[in-house]
Amino acid sequence: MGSEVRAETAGFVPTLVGLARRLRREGLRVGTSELLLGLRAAALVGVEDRARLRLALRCCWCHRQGDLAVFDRAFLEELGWPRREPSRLARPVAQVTVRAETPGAASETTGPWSKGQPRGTASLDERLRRLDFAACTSEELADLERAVAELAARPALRRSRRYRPARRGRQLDWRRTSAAALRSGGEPLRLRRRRRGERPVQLLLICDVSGSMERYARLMVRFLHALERTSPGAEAFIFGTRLTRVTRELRQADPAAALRAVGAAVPDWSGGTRIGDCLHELLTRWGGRALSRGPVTILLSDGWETGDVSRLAEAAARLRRGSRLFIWCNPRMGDPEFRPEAAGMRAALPHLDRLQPVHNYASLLELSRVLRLDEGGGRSRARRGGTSLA
Amino acid sequence: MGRGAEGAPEEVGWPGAEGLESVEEMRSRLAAASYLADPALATVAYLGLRLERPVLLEGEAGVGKTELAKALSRVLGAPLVRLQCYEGIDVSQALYEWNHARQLLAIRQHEGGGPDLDLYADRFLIRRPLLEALAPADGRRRVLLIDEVDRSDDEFEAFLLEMLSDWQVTIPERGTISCASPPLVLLTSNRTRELHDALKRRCLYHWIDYPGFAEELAIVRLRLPEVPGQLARQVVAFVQQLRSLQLYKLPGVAETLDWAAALMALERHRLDPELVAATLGSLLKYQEDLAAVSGTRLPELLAEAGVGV
Repeated sequence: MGSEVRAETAGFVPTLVGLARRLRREGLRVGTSELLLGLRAAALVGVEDRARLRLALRCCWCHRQGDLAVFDRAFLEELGWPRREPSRLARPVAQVTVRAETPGAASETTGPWSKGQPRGTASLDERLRRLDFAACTSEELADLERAVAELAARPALRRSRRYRPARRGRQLDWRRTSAAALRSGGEPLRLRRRRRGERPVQLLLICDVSGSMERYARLMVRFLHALERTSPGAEAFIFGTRLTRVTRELRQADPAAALRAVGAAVPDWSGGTRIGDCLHELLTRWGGRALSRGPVTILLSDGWETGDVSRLAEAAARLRRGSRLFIWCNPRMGDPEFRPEAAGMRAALPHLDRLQPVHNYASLLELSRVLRLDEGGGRSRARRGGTSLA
Repeated sequence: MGRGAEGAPEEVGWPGAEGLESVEEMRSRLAAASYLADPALATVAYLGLRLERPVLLEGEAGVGKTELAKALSRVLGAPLVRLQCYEGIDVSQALYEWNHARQLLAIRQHEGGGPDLDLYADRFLIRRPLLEALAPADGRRRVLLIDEVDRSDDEFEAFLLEMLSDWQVTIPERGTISCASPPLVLLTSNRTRELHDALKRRCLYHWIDYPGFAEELAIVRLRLPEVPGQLARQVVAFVQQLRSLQLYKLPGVAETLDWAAALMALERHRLDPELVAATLGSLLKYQEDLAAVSGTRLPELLAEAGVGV
């Protein structure tokens, strides 16, 4: 490989190595193999023309759209900008991951999720299971948080498009049948079968952390974290007046660190609520990703909308069309006097598959049961069991 | 191909790569093949060819990811092999399959005796796109388009990584097939999910953005030369205007071309609100987007796009 690096490029190697190191510091994945690839590319296009060099290195050292702006800035500062060509790439970069320090000990991580049939933690007494989160003391909340972290331990399954060998499959597995037949002299003595496998359902989690949700927000985020950890590919968003994607923040194993990272990433805790606008942003900016596989969508909110409720209704209708199941979870339902009368709640009501309470531990337990119930495509099944929306 | 490990065949060149020695040359040849690439895209295509690395193209739908593969196939004089990904795609659909019925019949025919029967001979092998690209039956080098790789699943991604890293695949009954003249590979993704890091690191990366006014106008003129200049300018200006709006799905270049072609089919050479409203379905594919744009806002949008009403 070294022979490919021509003489005029060779003098340039330290500069490129310097640039690669800087990019590594700024979070790009520029390993040795990328570095060598970049040197070969530089040798091919030459180093005299900076514009050309920049484009060549960029496609070797960037791996996602968000890398491009970082690369361009570093290149400019390390090597100087070539003439013209302002970058049209400088689109809003998705989000910078906040890396919170992981505290060494004392992390009460969730148990292994194989054992976690969410029957409820034994230590949690009946009173605590029924107690409204808003009425808890801080010690009770700490107990509940631990319990919540163990919830949702088994993601719901949907049928996958990938086939697996199965004794009683509906389809004939030609490949295995004939392989076996060849072994028995061309006689297919036994028919092998196959059926579609199963895959965890994707979740789309959207949580309201505006002022009216303040007393529930912390536990809700805990709950999101539990779901995110146990349900691969779940996307999570938090909103008040603005929408923030927190999928990456919630992926870390330690719940306390995840909570801190979310806190740092979300600019508008306990502010106003613009549900409609935030859901619209979700649909336009993230819809392609979050809704592409027909997720089960869970919206945690009390429905107090300060924006335009017709926008909320429209967004809710679209969310439902894109989702396998659209569940609205409202902590206010703990109140026996509850009627869905908040303007936003009323506007969204016709577009929901289910309305669930999430005010206490028992209701979260129920919710995670609903999620598991959805095997296959079960909008109808899940809806049948739901709270009456009349 | 015989049984067992295949001997590495001799390297085959690209029929159309003669004199293709610089990024600028790549750019002008792509243009000659009716594809207008900006310098960044030409660079990545050139490097993919010369460094024999797969190229990962990301971008919104309809910005020309798939078109690039077709244009490169024309430039290089190499047949295009296309693999459309979907969830659950596996080796038997992507790489090879044995013709089971034929194998069983051959055994029956053979029962009387005769020379040894090779059940894994070429005539029983069904070659799927990846095998066709890696070990082409006619020996010609291929351009391989792996389309919408984000729709496939982890298992298939891992298989692809293995293939793209070593340029070889294994068919258990036949041994390893290695490839001295790898195809030029383009992968496209619409980013409905993040691809695995290892796969990304194997590839050269490029993000295709929506083109600016001048570039898009040039594309329309090149692809649809029969569209009069004034109409082309109006069409592009209006589409560019639409892209500044908050819509669920912005129109891509493909939609611009569709729309211009639709207007030509209607034999209309000037835009007016009524005409736009009637044909907006070529550009916008969501009911909500159509509702947001048509109606009272339309004349205003057209005026902003510089279309005199």
